[in-house]
Amino acid sequence: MIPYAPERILVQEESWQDSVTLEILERLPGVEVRTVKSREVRFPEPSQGSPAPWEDKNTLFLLRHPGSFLKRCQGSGADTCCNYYVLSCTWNCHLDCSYCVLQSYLGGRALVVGTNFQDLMREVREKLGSSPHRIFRIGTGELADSLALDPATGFSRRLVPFFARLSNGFLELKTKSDCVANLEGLDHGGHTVVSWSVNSKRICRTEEEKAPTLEERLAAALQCQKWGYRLGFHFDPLIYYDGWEDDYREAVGEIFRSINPERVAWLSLGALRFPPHLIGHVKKRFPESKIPYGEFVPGHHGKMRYFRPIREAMYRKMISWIREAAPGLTVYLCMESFAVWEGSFRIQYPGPSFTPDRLDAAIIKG
Amino acid sequence: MKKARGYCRFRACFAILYGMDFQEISIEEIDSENETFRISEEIRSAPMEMSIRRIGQLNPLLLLGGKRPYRVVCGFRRLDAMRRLGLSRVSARIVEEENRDLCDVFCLALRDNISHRQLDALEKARALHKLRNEFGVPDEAILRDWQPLMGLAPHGQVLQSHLMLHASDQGLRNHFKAGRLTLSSLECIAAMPPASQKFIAAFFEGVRLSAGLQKKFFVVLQDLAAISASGPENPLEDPEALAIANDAAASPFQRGEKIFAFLYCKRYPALTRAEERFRERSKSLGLPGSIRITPAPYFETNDLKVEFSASDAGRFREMARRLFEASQTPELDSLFGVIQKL
Repeated sequence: MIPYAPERILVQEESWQDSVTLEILERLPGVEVRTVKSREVRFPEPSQGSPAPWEDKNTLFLLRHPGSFLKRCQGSGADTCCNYYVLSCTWNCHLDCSYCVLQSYLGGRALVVGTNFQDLMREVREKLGSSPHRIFRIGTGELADSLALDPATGFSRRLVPFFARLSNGFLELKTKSDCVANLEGLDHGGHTVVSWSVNSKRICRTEEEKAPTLEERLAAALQCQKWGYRLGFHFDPLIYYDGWEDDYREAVGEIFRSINPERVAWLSLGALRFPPHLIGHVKKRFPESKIPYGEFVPGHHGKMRYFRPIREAMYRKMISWIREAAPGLTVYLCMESFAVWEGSFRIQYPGPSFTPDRLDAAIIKG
Repeated sequence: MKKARGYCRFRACFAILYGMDFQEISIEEIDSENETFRISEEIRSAPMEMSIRRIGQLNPLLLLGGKRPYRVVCGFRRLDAMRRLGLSRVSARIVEEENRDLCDVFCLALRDNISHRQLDALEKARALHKLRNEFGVPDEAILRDWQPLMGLAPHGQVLQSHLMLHASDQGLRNHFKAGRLTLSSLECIAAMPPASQKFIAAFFEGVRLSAGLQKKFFVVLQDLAAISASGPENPLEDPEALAIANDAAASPFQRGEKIFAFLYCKRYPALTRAEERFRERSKSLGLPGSIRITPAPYFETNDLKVEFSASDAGRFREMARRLFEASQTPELDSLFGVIQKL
């Protein structure tokens, strides 16, 4: 993996009071550091174009996030929603996967780290305390890779012990990286799942060029398993191409040759989906990518998706290969409809709480 | 050294005009073939010819003097009209070439054009090409000073797309001038290799597409080319596409729609197959055309929608009866089967 090495760090003046800021600067010695006023660090609106520093992936912003850190996952409108929560403390990603929605979602390419960690923890405690009998599965991998910046931020060393003390909170660190060194020796209390976004070797090589290879991701996963963490895997996005069957079957086999399925909390499947305007970005920035030429149609929430029979065929085959390798594993579909779920699993969807209940049960099992 | 700033150019233009006198010269002394300063896309102008015939030449030509024959700076269309009318002498102002920066002279011509008419896209493209490639004006000055004057956004991408427009195939430019291609279509094709441009220009001789369909057409065409890793003309070289393009029984617009349908089918094979199967099975229900059965958009769910309208109870009962009859047939199960097993 290509480690993140910013050329400059812009620190919001208030962020100097936060210990996170000082720690990050210590971990990134020799980088130009500049203090900026609060009004200069507002997220630009995607529609307005980005001022220069925001457009530069080599810029790291350290700022106090003024809004909410914790939100319901945007998939919450889907039929088979899993009731997931998203905790955002970093924004954007330097791995630059060709299909990634972040390249058009945040209105800039600079990486951003929220330094007011105390606010984040307070918000999580309040939310979980307001519904003490409910299980909260919370992930940090929605608007950034959970671990790709961890060598610089060290956030995992704050978050993992914090969640270990929350009786109804479970953290999912979702990553494509192999940056797991900070996880060693932490008291996770069974409340952290370390998950990998995985794909066929061909997609890893051609569309996720800056991310670690599948083998490197699995080596990192195995390391975490040895440290007692439960694991998760996300074949998301599944990408359709000539020869996908052989490649994805091989990837499934490779995962469960090295990883003990008993220690895997869940595995999700999600066919590629994206807002329509992303196609233009991909064609322009990654002209070699074949992704834009799939048979996409407008679907749920206006996102483009593979035509339903293509998705169902991919899900059905993936499920059968996973069942062969790991029969008892909790498998679910991300952001899909009842119809697709039923067409993929070949059984009637039992009801709206089915997926969240299964995932809660899987995580409580420990 | 070339001056970059528009302000300096403005002063230079003013200096050129200052002190020039009107002269009457023989039309034979003017080189109308030299297009160094030409901006107009179309030189022949019937209204201009009519005006000069009726009331004579109101505005003098602006010519570059020095060596003979004179070169036209402003007034290509006036000169063409006067030649057609057989006039032998014209009124002109002469800019002496000695110690003149030709870029200043071109900027003067450009300002003159912009001041009294709206340049079309090809004229803007020609002007930007000349500023940049013939007179060496830096991109920065073009973006800052000239693009806004022409009503263009000051972005490098806009400059690049206009430079491509200027270099585009003449056949395509003719289609654009004739209103057969939209500007965005022309911009899209102008980015293609020259051989592809030529092929598409020839293809569009017998095919027309509405403005709305053109956009979709070129997206699909480029997608298919990218899928097959071939030139953009490749999908149109398919024998079936060529047969449609040469179908003498169809109108140019009908050919355009059929070719688009052909390409769409290749781009979205699974979707078009499903739509075709659904149409066939719903026909087999034998329902009247006033009862419409449609699947969910893009077959995203297994739902069917049935619609009819009735103006009285008798008509309503008749529709309901036909629907009930259809519901008892195995064809209905077959129709749902199409959706459930796409």
